[in-house]
Amino acid sequence: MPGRSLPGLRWGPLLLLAVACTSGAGVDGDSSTSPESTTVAPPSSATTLADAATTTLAVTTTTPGSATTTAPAVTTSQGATTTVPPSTTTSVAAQVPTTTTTTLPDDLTVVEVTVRDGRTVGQDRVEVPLGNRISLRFDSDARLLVHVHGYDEEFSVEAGVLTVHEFEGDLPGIFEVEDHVTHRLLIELKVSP
Amino acid sequence: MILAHGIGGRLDLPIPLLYFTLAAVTVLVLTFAMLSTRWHEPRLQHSMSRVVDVPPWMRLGGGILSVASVLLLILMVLSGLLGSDDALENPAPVMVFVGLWLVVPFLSALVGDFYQVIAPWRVLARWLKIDQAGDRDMSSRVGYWPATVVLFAFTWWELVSPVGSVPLWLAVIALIYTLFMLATIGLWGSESQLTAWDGFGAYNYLMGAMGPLGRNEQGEMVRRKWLRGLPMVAERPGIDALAVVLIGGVTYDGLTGIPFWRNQLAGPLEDTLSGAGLGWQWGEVVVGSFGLVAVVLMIGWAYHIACAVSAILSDADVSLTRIRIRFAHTLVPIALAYAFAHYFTLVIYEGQLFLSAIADPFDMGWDVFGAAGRAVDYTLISPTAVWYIQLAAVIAGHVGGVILAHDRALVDFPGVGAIRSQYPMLALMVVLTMLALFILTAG
Repeated sequence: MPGRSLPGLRWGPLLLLAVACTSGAGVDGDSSTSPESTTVAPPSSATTLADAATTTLAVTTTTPGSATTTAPAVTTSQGATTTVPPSTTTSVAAQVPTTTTTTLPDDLTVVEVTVRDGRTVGQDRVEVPLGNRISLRFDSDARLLVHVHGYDEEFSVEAGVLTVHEFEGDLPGIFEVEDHVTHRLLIELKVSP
Repeated sequence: MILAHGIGGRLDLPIPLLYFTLAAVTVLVLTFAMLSTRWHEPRLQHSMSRVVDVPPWMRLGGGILSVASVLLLILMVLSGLLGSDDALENPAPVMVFVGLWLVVPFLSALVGDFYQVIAPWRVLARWLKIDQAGDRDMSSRVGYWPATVVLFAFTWWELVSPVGSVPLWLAVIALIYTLFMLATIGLWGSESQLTAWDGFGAYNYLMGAMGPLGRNEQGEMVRRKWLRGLPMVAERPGIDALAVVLIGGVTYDGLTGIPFWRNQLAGPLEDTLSGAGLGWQWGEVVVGSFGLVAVVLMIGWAYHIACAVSAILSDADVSLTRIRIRFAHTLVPIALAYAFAHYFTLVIYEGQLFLSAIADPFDMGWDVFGAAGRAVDYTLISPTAVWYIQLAAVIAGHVGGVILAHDRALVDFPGVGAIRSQYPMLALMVVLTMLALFILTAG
């Protein structure tokens, strides 16, 4: 090994500290710019086609939503699955919507997931506030057997049928939601205080 | 990715990064400064253990555990072959990925390497009377390399292969591994086989070297202080690779949990491969294998560079390979810290699956302990407590690494070179600390 001594050895620890600090900051910057799913404020900000779909969906599912909020006895660990006839999603056929999260006033967080060719369109990390009721709305072009790990919620989604499944988001953590037909990851639910 | 860690399906919430990283790095640098000014003589480099008699209860306990471990192996294989094909309802995946892979090494680090007493393969070989004296030449020749390959393959199986948590496959693998173990024990004897050919044997040997109980050359049981066994670890070829594979595997598992990795790195690559006509499962396997190899190589490369710069700074006339082997034991507390910080909630939460799964091991509607339908209680530890335990583990592991490396440097690089040689090691520890915390925060 040639060149057995390096100049400026005394500055070694200082240099290290500097490197540590700068890279720490860099790492931080990275994580802040790294893509996270956006939490859309209540429907008022609706602009595009996808958002229009959001509002119509929200309208079509008000019945199960309000039913669960008025009858808290139902809102235990067992989730309720509702299917909506495909007619409501016709307007979306041209443009495939990506994953969206909408938190409605009465502590209900609506997560809309579109699956095409077995893959989630758009972001696969969804953030949900702890303690909210989570409404998963799946639109898939193939049959899915959705399994929410941790919560152990399981429900099937038929091809082309918008399926709504609700449960209480009362466990903190990051939970994989996978399709038990292909065992592929669909989304991750990040439930945090 | 499919079921990112064999079983699981739940990850911890990310810890707040910046302050934790600053705290950890400060602690490391302060430790280093204290060591440089106060610790001038090597203190850990000679065996400070004393021989103790094995108390009768321990002998009895070892015997019972040996039988139990063989029975558990049989139960695991049978339930894998006959039981439910759901990874969460079959006891086999929990037994392998939580029990064998996490709980046993953690306990080894706590008390000492008890795996070598209860390893079902060694017990079976004893019963079959095929464990002879052993061939020390073999173990010094092949070193830890075969065990390293086993551990790498196991990590690949768990994290990359599409069938990592399929109980049937696990049972088949366990049978093959049992034959492999019996064959190598038969060829070279169970003593020299343990750390050379059994991946879990080598893993537990390194972890157990931290614990207070151990064995000396004559096979007598010794007591020592915590961490004291590590500098005495048998220095054979491949020990550096073994530690690197352990750290790299956990790092890879953590990185794949980060959305950026999935969506910006692995995802597009997988899509490209699918576009080229490869099925998506195979696309994931190819990209995952590549990622795992790359991460392990990166960790190994970082350690290699740190050793190389150490050699230059210390002005010592030692070969680089020798330095890498001499300092490999300093990575062991770090490997433990990585594994513990990353997986202790998996042990606590998914470990509970064992109860409900073992109640009906063969999927025949049994309910042996009245625990069949038991759900996992995910509220045992608050997220904040998890963060602090993770942070404490990461800091403790790296401080342990810094201390061990400093003490070894005092022997290997005498004089003023000792402190100088440790700048790159400190840099490595800082990088590994930040990497560990980054993975725990970025998820």
